[in-house]
Amino acid sequence: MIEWQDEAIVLGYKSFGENKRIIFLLTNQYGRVNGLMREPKSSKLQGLAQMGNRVIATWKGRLEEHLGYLSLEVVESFTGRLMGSAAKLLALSSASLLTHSVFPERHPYPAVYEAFLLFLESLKGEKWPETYIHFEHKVLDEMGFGLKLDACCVSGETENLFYVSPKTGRAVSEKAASPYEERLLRLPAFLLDESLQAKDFEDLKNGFILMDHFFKHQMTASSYKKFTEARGQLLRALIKLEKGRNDFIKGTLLSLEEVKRGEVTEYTVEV
Amino acid sequence: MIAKEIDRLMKLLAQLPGLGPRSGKRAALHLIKRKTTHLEPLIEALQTALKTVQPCTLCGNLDTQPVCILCSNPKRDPSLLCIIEDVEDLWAMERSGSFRGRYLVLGGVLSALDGVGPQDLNMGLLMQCLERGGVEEVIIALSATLEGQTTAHYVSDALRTFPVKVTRLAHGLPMGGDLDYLDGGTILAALEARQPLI
Repeated sequence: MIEWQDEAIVLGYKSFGENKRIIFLLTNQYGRVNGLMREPKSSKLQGLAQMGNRVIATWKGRLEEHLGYLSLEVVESFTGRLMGSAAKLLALSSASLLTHSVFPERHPYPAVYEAFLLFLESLKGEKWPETYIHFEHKVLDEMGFGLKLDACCVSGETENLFYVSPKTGRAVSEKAASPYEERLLRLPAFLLDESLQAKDFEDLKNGFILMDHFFKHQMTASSYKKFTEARGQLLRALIKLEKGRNDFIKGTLLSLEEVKRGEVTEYTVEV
Repeated sequence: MIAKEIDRLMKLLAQLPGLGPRSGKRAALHLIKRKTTHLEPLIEALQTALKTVQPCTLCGNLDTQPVCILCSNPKRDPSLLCIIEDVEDLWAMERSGSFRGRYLVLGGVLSALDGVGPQDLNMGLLMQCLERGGVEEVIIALSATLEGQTTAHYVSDALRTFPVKVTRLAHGLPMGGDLDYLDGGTILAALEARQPLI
């Protein structure tokens, strides 16, 4: 019998049969791990496998490749804190889906685990959208398609880096970008310096567009579709937060193309 | 060894919730041995259900009439509308005997992981219900899970254009709950929803 224990973040679960669940975890040392767990009967334990919970997970299985059984002990639960904020709930949902979709099972990604923890902590405060984009950046990096943002790929400059090449993922300075600005992706300053906050919503939007461009090319079509739908809802919630809109927004999904074209800034949607 | 008709019956029964291959086999044998007392009434009940049970056109509840018994009951308060995830939740609410308004079955909750989007919910039925008028308060009674609350926010956003009061069920201490066993999130939710005693 193989058994190990590790700290983990719950990414979600699916019901399996009548009284079992398959739990999806991101562990610190073992990476993404799935495991079976009996459906908790006690109301005290119902919330064990809530998305975003920090847990101590114990995995048991006869062979390493088996699904195995999991038992969880909650260290910190975030869902209760986020109940009042649609945007935060959607951000957590989007981050969990991304992690679940792009990484293979049983490969350690301690940097992603660390970034996810930072993102969860940030949800307690106000600077969480920037941390969410940093998290996406880290995921891209760990997928093997990280952006190279330390110097301009044309001139080698380390100052005034305002753009990213959509082909190479390398930074481009303001001077070298001219006259190709239209073809380049905007690089928000907070991605270069983690201590910075987004200047305005435009800055945040540029961060989302930048990451989306690379995810679109590196994720499988089906994973990207699900992810972009979840992220679209997050973006919509952020836009609403920003604009303080009260308009009813129809349940169609917001595409990043709409954001890029600026169509979402003034839209009113009929029922 | 086993006749294919019996085998088929066992396999079909084994697919029912709460049953597996062994219990499916037991149930099949039980029915076959008691044809007149159990099997025939069961067949009759299944056929009746197949022919008559349908979702209510107003709320999504299951009934034998196009408009269910709850929606057609004049004693129920039409100004109160309770949004629930599934028919099971409706039955749970009715079991409590404390709600005298009407219901709307949403048919699921938003879930990024399961690929359930807004287009999969009964939002059209909800909009029709509100456009008919008469609703003063909408109570969102969805699970206190991440998916449930995401859906609650989505639904409350969708209701902004209607002149209705939107409320949701309280979160916090369960009845008989021991504070010591509760997680921080639940305690926080309970603290935020605290009520004056005096």
